[in-house]
Amino acid sequence: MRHLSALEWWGVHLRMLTSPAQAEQLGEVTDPLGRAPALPFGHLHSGWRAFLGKQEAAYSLWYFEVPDGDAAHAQRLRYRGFAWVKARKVQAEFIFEWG
Amino acid sequence: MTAQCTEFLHFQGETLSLCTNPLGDYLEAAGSPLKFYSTSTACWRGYVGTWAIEGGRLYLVKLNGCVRTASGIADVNLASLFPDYPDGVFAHWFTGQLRCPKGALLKYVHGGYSSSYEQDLLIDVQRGVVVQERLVVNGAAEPGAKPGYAMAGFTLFGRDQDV
Repeated sequence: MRHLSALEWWGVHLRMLTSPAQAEQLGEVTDPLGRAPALPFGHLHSGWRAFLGKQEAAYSLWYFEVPDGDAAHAQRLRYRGFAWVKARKVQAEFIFEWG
Repeated sequence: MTAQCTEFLHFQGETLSLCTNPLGDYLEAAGSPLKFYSTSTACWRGYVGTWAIEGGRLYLVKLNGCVRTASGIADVNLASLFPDYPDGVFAHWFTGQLRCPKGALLKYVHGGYSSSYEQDLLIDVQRGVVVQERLVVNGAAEPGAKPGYAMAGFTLFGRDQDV
């Protein structure tokens, strides 16, 4: 899993407190040709399960979005994912979409 | 720096060079047990993927690469990375722009995908689904210029050579 170097900075991109069930709704993947697992986050499902397994006491789950760092492409997405947060610090992250 | 070999994209009956690597982030995030091995300075990523747009969706349909194993360097394919999906993988993790250069070379840059060509077919993809495509005209090459992706010199590595 990619770890961003400046987690304090990255914290400004936390958008919404959520739950694993809500996250899995967002991560629903369907494909008419059956070329992805019909599981939350599809081909990334095992990574999602591993991320869920990192939960510890007092962790909260947050949805995050990181835009492109290039000012010329500020509207472009760089990452979307979920983070376990405790005491205002990111403890682990799961990225499910890249720009 | 060395110009990099492209991926390939089957799109509307054509096979195009693809100057985007949609698999790269997946490999990093998914913690793939396959560690690709570069056999050339023209392919530092160690693999070449063939992609297809079918029904407005982006699929990885073929993969050729090399990995280092305990017994040496081995060839791998799509089934090695996605054993349950040997015929194609929906790239739902990818949001961004696919760039397919078309026409003849305008300016050669010996690094990455930095060379420019007469046209760029740009395909915007959101979570694996095509949302927009457009052809950008960058200029006209000299008369008689040969169309196609160009790479100058590169170095091949032996399969038993540390890189």
